[in-house]
Amino acid sequence: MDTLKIINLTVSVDDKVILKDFNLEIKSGEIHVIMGPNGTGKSTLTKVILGDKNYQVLKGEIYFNDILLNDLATDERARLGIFLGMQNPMEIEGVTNADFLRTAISTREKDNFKLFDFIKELDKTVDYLNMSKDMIHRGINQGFSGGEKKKNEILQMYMLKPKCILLDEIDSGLDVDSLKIVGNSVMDYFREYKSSILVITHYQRLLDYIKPTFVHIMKDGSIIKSGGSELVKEVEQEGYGKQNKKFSSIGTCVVKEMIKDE
Amino acid sequence: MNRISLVNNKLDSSINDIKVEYIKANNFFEISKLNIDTLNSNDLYLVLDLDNEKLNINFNINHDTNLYICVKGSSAKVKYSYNIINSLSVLKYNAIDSINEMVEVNLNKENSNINYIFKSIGTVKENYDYVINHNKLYTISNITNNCVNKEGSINIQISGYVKKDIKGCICNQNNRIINLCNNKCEIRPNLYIDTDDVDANHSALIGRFSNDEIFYLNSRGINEVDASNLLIKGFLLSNISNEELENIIKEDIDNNWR
Repeated sequence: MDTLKIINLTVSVDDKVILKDFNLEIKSGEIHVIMGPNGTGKSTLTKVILGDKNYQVLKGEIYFNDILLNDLATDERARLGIFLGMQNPMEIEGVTNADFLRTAISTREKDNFKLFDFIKELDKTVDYLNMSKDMIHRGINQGFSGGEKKKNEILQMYMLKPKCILLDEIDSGLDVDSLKIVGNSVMDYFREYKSSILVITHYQRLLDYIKPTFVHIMKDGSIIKSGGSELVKEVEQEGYGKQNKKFSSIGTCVVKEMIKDE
Repeated sequence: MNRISLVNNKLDSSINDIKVEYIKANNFFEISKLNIDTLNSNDLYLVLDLDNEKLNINFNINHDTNLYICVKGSSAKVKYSYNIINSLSVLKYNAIDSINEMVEVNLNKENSNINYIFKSIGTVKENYDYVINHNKLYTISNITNNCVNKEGSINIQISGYVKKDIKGCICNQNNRIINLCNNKCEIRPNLYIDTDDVDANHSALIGRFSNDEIFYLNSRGINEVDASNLLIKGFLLSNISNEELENIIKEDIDNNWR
C-alpha cells in the first residue's frame, strides 16, 4: 500500500501564501480529483509535492510511504515513484524523447536497464497511445501540439511506471479523440498498477473517462469541501461561489466565519 | 563528400569541382593563406588542426554549398572570408583550446544567402568577431552561435550591415552562451541598418539552463548532473546534420562531462 500524506502544508511564492494548512491523504487504488477556481493553488500543490524550488514550504510535511519528502530533491522524490504530468510540459530543444526516457529509466534501474526491452516497450506504448513513431526521435515536446504534449506526458508515465501520479490539467488542449485516449489510458494504468492518482481539472469531461474515488473543491489554498462524483455535477451547475458557503463540516473556525458572513 | 584537411601546415584534399590553393607562411610574422573556390554545387568537410598559427581562409562560394568545418588544436588566429554569390550552409564546431577568430561574410549577389550554425565548448579563451555585409538586394543571413563555456571565457561580437538602397534583406543573429562557471562571457550583437526595408533580428543570451528545464528533467528522476549533461548535449547537438561532426561533438561532451 503506497500512501501520499500531506499534513498542514503552507506554501508561499514571492512572499505570497498560496497553500494554507493544506491536508490530503491519497492511498493506492484511489483517484482523487481536485477542482477549484483559477489561482487557488492547485498547480502549486502538484509542484510542491515534487519539490519545485520556486516554492517555499513555510510549514507542514509531505510523506510518501512514511518517508518525509520535504528535504528530498525533486529527482529523489521522482525515483520514489511520484510522477507529475504537467499542465505546460517544457519544450527542450535537442534532447530527444528517447534519450530523455532512456536516461530517466537507466538512472533508476542502473545495471538492470536493458536497452532492447526499453525500445520494445517504448514502441508498444507509442502505438497504444496512437502517437507518431517519429516523435521519439524529436526534441522533448519540440513542435508538439497541445494534445501531443499531453500524450507525451502519459507516454512518460507508462514508461516510468510510477506509484503515485499527479496529473495537472492533463485534459487542457486535447480534442475529443485525444481526451478519450488520454482518459482511458490513465484508467487502464490505474487498473493494472493500482496506483494512487491525483487529478487537477476544471472540467467534468475528463471525468467521463477517469472515475474518481474522491472529489475535493479547493479555494484560497485549502480544500473547502470533499465528496464523491456528485460534487462535480454541483460545480458544473452552480459554480464555485456556492461551494464557498457549504463548508460546515470542515471545522469550528470555518463554521464561525460562515455564521459571521451570513 | 569532398574533404580538405590542414594538419600541422600540411594540406590534404580529396575534392571534385573545388579549387584549393594553400600558401604556407615562411615565418612567424607571415600569415598562411587557404583559398577555396567552389566550381559546382558541393558538400565539403574541412578539418583544421592548428597549433599557434595565423591563417586566412578565403571561400569563394560560386554555387550552392554545404560546408562542415571542424577546428582542432591548441591556439590560432584565423580569419574566414566568405564571398557568396549563391547559397551557403555552414555547420562549424570549434574543438580548439584558444582561438581568435574573425569571420567576414560578403553576400555579393541578389538573393545570395548564408545559414551559419556554430557550436563550441569553451575551455580557455575564445574571441569571435563577425562582420556580415549585405552588399546586394534580397540577401539573407541567419547566424546562430551556440557555445557552452565550461571553464574559459567566450566573447562574441557580431555586426550586420545593410546599406542604403539595399532592400528586402533578412539579417538574423541568434547568440547564446551557456556559462557553467563564473568567468566573464560577452556577446555584442550589432545591427547597422541604413534602409527601412529590412527584416533584422538580433538576440544575445548568456546564462545557465533554466530552472524550469532542470525541474522537468528532475521530475522524471534524472539527477542534477545528468540533467545538466543532457541539456548540454541537446544544446550542442541540435541542428548538427553531419554524422562525423556529431560524433566529434559527442566525444568532446563525454570527455568534458562524463
